[in-house]
Amino acid sequence: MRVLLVAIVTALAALQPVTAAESFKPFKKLKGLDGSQQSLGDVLGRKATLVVFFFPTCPYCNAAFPEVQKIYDRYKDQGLSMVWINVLPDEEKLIAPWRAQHGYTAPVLLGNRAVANDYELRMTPTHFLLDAKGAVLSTHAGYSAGDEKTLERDVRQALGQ
Amino acid sequence: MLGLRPGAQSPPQVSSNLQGRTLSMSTDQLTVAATLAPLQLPPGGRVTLTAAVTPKAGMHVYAPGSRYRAVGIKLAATSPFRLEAPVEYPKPGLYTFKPLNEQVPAYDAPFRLIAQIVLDTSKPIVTPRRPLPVTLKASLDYQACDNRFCYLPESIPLQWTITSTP
Repeated sequence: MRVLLVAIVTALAALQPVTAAESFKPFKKLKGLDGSQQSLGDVLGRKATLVVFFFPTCPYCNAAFPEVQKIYDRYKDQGLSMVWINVLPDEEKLIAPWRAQHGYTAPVLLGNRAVANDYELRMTPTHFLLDAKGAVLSTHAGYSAGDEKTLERDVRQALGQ
Repeated sequence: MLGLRPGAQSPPQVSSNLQGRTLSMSTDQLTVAATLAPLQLPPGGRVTLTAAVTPKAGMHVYAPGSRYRAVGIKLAATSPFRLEAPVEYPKPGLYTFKPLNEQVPAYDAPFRLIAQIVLDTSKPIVTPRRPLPVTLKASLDYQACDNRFCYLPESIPLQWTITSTP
């Protein structure tokens, strides 16, 4: 019974549209792969921003990111910004070859467990879709086939489409 | 400001004191009973750390040989000990990771890891003239997933005080 209850609570927690506008906690400047330092304000898009916490050997990140990259490709010229934040410093060296291998072009920032703790992350990937001012429109954790359709729907809505 | 979304990770629950021979701990993803024996270490001797790990329902952890982070026992970098040989693993099962249609060596049922540990003679060690307490610090490192989520990697601290004897 307890297992069932935990499963239900976890499933409900996985996809949570945010009804009231909550601000995404600004992160301190994080280093990008090119060495530049970027804050949340630097990465906010004209209309919407998708912030994704990940690490390169995360299985569900590897399942989700080909689809997330497609969303970036489709909407980046329409006002969508995207940033992927690595939360495991010991995997930083893997990121460049991993991006090249998969053809990922979404910008990456180098975070750590403290950043993950700031957002009380428990699992990866965890997505936060923000509006132009940084208010959270929706969050999504984990990945199942088809989740990208929900994500794309939310992105289109955020872009006013 | 944004608060908790998916839910905070519970810290490991320790059910025996750190001086004991067996440490029993539970996280959201698994339980572990880690035993160190013997608790006396003569010159040239070894101790055996056995970690009996039980993944919780629906959870799996990765085994060596997968491209993901494998479960393992690590000694603290500052430890005066070293592994005498690679950690012993049982044969893993094959987990089918449906989103990528791949089979991955993993454990989803109880299993044991065994580490043979000796004093690291490359580090300055004073041979005791009388029994001397020495702290052995290690950790059980793992990353667990279920059929929808991968949880952040965890490191469960393990610590015993053993007696180094002349």
